[in-house]
Amino acid sequence: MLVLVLGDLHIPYRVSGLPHEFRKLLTPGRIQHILCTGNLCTKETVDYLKTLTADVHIVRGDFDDNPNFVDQKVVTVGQFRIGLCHGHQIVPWGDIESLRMLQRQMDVDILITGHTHKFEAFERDNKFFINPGSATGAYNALNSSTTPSFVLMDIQQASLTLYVYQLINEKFTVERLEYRKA
Amino acid sequence: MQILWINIIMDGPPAQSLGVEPVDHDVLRKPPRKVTDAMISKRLIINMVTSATVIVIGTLCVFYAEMRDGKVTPRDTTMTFTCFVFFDMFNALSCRSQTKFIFEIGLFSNRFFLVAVFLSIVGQLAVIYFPPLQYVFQTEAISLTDLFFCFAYCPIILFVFETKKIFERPNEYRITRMALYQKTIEEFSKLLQSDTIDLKKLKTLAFNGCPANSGIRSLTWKILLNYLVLDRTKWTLHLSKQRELYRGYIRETIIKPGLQSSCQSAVVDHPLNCAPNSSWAAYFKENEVLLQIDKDCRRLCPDLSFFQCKTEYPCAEIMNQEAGFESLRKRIVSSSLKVESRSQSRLTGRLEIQSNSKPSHQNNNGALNSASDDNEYEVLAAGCEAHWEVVERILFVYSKLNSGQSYVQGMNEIIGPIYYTFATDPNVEWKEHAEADTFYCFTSLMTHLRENFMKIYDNSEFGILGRMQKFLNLLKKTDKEVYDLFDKQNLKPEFYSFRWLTLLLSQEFHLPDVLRLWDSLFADQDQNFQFLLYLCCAMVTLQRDQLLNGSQAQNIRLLQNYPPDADVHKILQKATELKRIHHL
Repeated sequence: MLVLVLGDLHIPYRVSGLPHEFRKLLTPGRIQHILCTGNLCTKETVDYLKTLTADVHIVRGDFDDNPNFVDQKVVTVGQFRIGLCHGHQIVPWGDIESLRMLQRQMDVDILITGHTHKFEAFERDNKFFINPGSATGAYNALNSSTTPSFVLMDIQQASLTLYVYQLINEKFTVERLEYRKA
Repeated sequence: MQILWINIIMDGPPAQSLGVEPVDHDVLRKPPRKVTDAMISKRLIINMVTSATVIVIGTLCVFYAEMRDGKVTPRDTTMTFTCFVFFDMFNALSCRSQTKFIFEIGLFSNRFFLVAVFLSIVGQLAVIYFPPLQYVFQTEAISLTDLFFCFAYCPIILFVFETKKIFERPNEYRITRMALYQKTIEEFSKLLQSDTIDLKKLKTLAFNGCPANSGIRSLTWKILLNYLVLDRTKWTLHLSKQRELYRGYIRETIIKPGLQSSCQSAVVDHPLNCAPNSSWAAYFKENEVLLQIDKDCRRLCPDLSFFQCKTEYPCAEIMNQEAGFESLRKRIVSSSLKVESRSQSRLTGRLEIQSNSKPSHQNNNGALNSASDDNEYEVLAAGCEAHWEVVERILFVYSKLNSGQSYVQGMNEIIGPIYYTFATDPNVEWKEHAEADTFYCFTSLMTHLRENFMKIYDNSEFGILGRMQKFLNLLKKTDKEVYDLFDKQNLKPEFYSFRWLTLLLSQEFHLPDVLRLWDSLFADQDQNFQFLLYLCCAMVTLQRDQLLNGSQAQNIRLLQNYPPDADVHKILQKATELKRIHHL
């Protein structure tokens, strides 16, 4: 099962749209679910995501226009419980211990957060933490230039394969990471 | 007194013993009685009246014969009395069964009856010969010759009834049909159990229809479709080899691309890759074909529940959840996830958790089908596979191995009856491997039908248009009148015979009839399904009365919705006749 994870697009306030390379990659029919960390910000972006697949899950970011998104979501894919949260609620932003606290609170196997606009994927205590970064490379409060990145998860029952797409020097690169649930 | 005596000995033991007549097991083979039928049927009344008439006439004859000597003596009454009693005894004997002959159910099968009749006869003799009783009943001892005369005279009633039963036999036809069926099974079994099978003889036998509900049809088709060689001793080896091969095909074709790329790390193959050599790209491309196959297989034979039931032999790799294997239908049916939303309530500060526990199902083409679809396509419990999923897998493997031809809508209708025959085989050893056997037989069949499904052959002589033209030429030879009518009404063969010819008539009739037609079709195989053209001509000819009097619209409607209740045997008969007379 293919799950797309992205967020922090900030369209149209900080960036005008997704990078051309990424747009070419994302075609309907391949991805089955989308998990979005938030800060999209407008309805048009939500509609665009819905054209890729009908099953889109979004959580609220601090710059989202729509106030009705929930703060946190937990979805079950295969044998994984995946927690989704934007990350601006966690102070300090991106702090590992705080993320671990949130993961324990939500009782999830994979925690996906955003807000830092920096790609991260690591494992602690058999739990995985993923940050897809910003798919558009929008600037952050602390960082004015970020690498556009998003993540595609391939979940098969108890094994997780992560494909990280990053746009470096006008060309996209793909990295492959594998995790297995204990 | 005598009348009283008759009453006692007739209504007593013999009638009671008729009630404990042993059960006739053939009653079960008859259709059930209608609840509204009268209990005293016309037949019963006729029987009663007949027996009464015969007994009365017989008795009166005896009386008249005795009276000819002019005097009324106790002898006359005794003779009449005895005759009447014996008449009653023989009547009771014939009443033991309403339809069967006495020697069929056995003269001695009802012990109570024998005992009762014996006692009655003893009683009767006592009344005649025992002096005190003679006084009571006013009888006279009669000579032994007279007694024998009565005994020989009274079976008249028995003969009358047995003869009546002969004429009333309605089930005679059914009995001979049953015998014929048994005989056919025996012939087939004998032929199929010999070490080297006589193909010509098998074809002749199969042409007249394989007996249903036995493993014979499944075995015969395997031989006729060139899956099994004629040398029986080589079967076990050949079969195990082919089945292993099929399993290999499954492993080759249905593995997920994500696992393979772990070996080479130079260029990472990712799911969004559109390059032609990417295994992910190939995976998604074949999903498009799979979507079509899935849609077609789900609605295979919708009036049968068979294909929606779970199979007893699901694919082992999928059931054991080996890495990379997933049920084919899961590849294209996407579902939305089970979601739990957690939000901090601004009013109370408490964490609220909401979840939607029922995920809905939808197809990957974007259309959202909600709860109604759930009921339409009932998903079986995890670990079960429905028969249509097995067919889906066979077709998928076939399409991958024959990429030039791929999958064309309609192939599912051809594989359906084949798989049904193999999967309903009463022998477990054949039933277990129905999937692999179906794959090979289907492949073999498709080598003959391939041209019908490929676009590039459409305009050639071997393609579907060529065949329709051949059909039309044959129709011209066999039934010029109808041919002229079609010409006048502009009824081109494409309008009706396209489906007949491509799908081998599987859509025109109910499944049992289709199986019967295919028996004859496969048995005639060496002439490249020419017999199919004769069958189509026969179908048209048998409807000629309606066609000749119908308008164009009516005729088109009739031909496109050929009555599925038409007698298939008549069609076969006509087709054989046509084949004998006209040559293509």
